[in-house]
Amino acid sequence: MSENADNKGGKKQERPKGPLDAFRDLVGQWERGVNQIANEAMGNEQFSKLMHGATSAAAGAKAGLGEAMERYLATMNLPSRADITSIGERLQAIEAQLNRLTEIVSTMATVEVAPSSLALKPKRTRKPPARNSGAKS
Amino acid sequence: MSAAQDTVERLRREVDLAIQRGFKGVNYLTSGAPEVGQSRKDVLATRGTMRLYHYHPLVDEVYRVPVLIVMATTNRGYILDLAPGNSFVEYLLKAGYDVFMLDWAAPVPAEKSLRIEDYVLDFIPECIRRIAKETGETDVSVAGYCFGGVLSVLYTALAGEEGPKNLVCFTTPIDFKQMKLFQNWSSQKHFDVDRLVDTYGNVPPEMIHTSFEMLRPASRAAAQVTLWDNIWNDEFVRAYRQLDRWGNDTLPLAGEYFRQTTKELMWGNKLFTGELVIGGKRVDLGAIRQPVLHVVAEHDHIVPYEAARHLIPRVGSKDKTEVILKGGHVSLLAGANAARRMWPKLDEWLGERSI
Repeated sequence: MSENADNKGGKKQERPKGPLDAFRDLVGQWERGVNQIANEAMGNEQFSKLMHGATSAAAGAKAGLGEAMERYLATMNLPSRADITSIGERLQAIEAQLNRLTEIVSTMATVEVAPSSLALKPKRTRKPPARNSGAKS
Repeated sequence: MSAAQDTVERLRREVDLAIQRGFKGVNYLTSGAPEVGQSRKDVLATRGTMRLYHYHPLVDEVYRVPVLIVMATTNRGYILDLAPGNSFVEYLLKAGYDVFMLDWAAPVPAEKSLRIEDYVLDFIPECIRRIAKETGETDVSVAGYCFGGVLSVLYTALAGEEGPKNLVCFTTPIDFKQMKLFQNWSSQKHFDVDRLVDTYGNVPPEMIHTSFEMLRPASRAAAQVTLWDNIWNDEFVRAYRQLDRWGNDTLPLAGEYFRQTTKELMWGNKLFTGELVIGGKRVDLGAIRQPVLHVVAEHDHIVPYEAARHLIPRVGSKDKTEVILKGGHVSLLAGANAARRMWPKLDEWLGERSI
């Protein structure tokens, strides 16, 4: 999720002026120029077609390889990714069930300890500071 | 000072910096990853990809209404808590808010079947129930970032009277047709989303990361040059590394959720046209009656203003505000400029609505 290079990093204002200033300006111009040209190029349909051609080919290769690997693992009497995923799904269902049970137990426990635990929490009575009127954005 | 003396002085400074760059550069390459997300917190709930944090209050008296931050599903929530002194969460805690965050872990393969319904009608309401139990308050303000904002909008629109007390959105897209590059890349004519999801299950994080990077392909290289130029400046390097770590820490997306987002929002633009149906109910933005604040960035390359500007006119609230601030998609919320521009603006709006 990159942003303009200027947005990364902290304060730069303290850097003294120097002979490299022209180079810095050049980098900024290069970044803006390349981004603009690339955005124009990537905004056309041909780019989308090419991009998804490559993605589809990669997905196809992955699917083919996955099938071959699954056959190989079955021959070796080893579990495949799908088998492990299926175990994961069952574990997750057990985890969800445990969470529900934990929640029920903690609800029952909360009823007993509520007064003391609430006493440790901050008061919920804060009011906003008075502000100057007319300072609208 | 004469021109010749001035030139000599500037050259001398540049040589000094070059020497420092050498030393600090070695230090940069040998030091570990920066620490992030250091505000003290309890993990209130975890369920699959869902994580609910409760940050420890930093003041003795907090506002009555707690705040639930809903993070975007593509990225980690620590962008809002980068480091002490540079943390949106810490700012809110010091300003007197009771802060919760709905953050996301990478969905495991078994979670490929999660849909928008799971996020909007299950995860968010569960977090709100947990917050009510923790605080004893039934009111909550929901604040969503980017796609977390979309989820927050959907939740609020569908929850009716039982929705949050206040809704805050940061750079939240409504008209997906205005996200021009993403539109072209996910073109229905060429993009076989079914094949992608059926093959991979969850969408790999590299794919998500690459699509964000492609929006500004030269920026990474330019950022590296800027880093080298400023490597003598410890403060700059620290902030750069924190943001860089976050930028590279992209999450995979649950397969069905991605398929649904692509078909319903990117292709159908149904949130904008009012045809989006979630859990059997049509999403009507006009049904949102709560106070709404939408903060958008002037130079947002991910969610351009044209995509975001429709939220405020379409919600049914009487108390609604749009604030446009300088900055980009990330620098709106994190970093020195956000601390100066956005954080106080939010506090000003939310404080008086949190009592």
